[in-house]
Amino acid sequence: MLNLKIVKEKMNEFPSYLKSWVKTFTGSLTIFCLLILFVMPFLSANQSFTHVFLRQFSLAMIFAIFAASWDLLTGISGQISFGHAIFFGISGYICAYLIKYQSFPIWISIIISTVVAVFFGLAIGFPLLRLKGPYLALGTLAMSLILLKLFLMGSLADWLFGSEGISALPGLAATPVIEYFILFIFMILTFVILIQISKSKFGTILKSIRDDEVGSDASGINTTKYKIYAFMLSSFFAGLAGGFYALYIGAVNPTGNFGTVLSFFAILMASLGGLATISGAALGAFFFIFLEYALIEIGVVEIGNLAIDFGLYKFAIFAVILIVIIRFAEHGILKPLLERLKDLWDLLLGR
Amino acid sequence: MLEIKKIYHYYGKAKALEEISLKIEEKALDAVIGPNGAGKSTLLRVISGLEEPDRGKIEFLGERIDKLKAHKITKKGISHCPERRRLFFDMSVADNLKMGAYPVKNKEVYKAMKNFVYELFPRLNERRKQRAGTLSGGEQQMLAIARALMSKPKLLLLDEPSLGLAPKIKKRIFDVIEKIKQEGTTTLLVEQDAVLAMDIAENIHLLEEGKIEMRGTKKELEKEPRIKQVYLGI
Repeated sequence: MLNLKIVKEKMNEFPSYLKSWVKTFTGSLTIFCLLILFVMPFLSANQSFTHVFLRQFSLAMIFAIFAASWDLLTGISGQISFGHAIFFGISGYICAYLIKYQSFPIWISIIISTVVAVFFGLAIGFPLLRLKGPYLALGTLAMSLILLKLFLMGSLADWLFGSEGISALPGLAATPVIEYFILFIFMILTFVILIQISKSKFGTILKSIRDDEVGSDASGINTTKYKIYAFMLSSFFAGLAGGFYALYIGAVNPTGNFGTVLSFFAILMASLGGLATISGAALGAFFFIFLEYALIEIGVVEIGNLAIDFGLYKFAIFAVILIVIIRFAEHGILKPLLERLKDLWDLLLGR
Repeated sequence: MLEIKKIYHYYGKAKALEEISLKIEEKALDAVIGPNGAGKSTLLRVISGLEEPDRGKIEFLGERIDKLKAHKITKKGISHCPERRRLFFDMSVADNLKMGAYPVKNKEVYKAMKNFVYELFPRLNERRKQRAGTLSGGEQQMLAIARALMSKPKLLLLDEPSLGLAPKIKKRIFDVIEKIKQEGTTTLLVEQDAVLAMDIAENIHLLEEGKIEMRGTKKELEKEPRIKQVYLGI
């Protein structure tokens, strides 16, 4: 199965591949963005900078991982999920429980919770895969609502920590700067892995299922098997993000970790960047986290007699943005943005 | 090679296939003709496992395949080129072919098949990197046939290859089908255009309302007054 010779060959090719990639426009732009992110924590040692502004970046990175995982399932494999918070929340809860009540080390808890999320992906993917298109979307949405209610009320909820959830968790790292770098590394890893997957033969198979399921069936592809793989892979990364999120916030509760809002966040972010681009998810995540931050910072604005609290109406604004994207940039803004930037760059260089 | 014994298939209560029996010899080119809604496509879907027959038996190379799932049947050597092409529109021509070769694990065979289909359809070679959705109708049909050929099938099922094509391009597609047959691939062709199908097929089966009404060679069928009137328009 795994041919060591091929792996070795690929490893030898890697440096030259990396070099040629950096020389391309998207490659150099990516490196440039990563460099900016890398030096960001060193810009200021100010308490308000590191503890407030820098943490927004960390949050954006968590959501970038989450949105990218959604993009793998929906953008690339065409399995529409409206309930991605399932994996995000379950992983957060497991992680919090293990740390708080079993006093597991942080990293082992994250690994276990991610694995549990994958099992959830399997368990949920299996019955839901008979559904297609909008029905699958409704099925996943219903599943996440059921889980939310299960954790929120009823006799099971007492056992599942009720609406209070679990709080007072330790942070991911001692300082926000270390936390930032941990998330930075994990975000890069996630994106490298997911982009490579989407370019590989496995990714092509997933795309063929998205484009035409009957066609791939007729080509001899076991579509059920690959759809389940897609669910498991996607829930792996969603679970990873969920574990980080629980530690980032320092607490878990049903609405905060299972809320439908989280699923829609993933959809918003990935579709802003563009479906099936993977890297678009990062763009979307940074955009929406900072938009949310800005709206809360702006807070209440008085116009005449009206006092509008922008922080309160952020979702209305997000929804408007989503509608505008769907209407005017169906395939997201990442690709057009890159093209424009390249044009500008060529213009500046006088090409 | 393929033997179908008394197949019945229903969509809910609607009967699509009724007591169909069919035998295809090795290296033959058989055609099933008939009007719209006669059950021609259903017949192919039942053979390739996209639908499970309600009753009856299908044997391929002496093995029962009627209970198998579609991807298993493809691995046994039956390749289905579905109706309305069903291409992967957002993917390149080369990627479409790569997916068609999914059951082929051997790289040498894969390369040989790729060269073979590019030779068969030079146009596809020119458009290797183009998105399948941007091809013209004729090219899309070529790609659909090429994709089905990529798995090196023993039996090729072609569903309405002439659908929505200009007469000149239809002719070109049918020339290729004849060529594929000469290369030794057994082919079962389903076609509305009876004139074209009868030109190239050895055995012709007439399917009407889910039943095989007539069968024979071109010469035999041409004598039938009903075929003349309805299908050949003479």
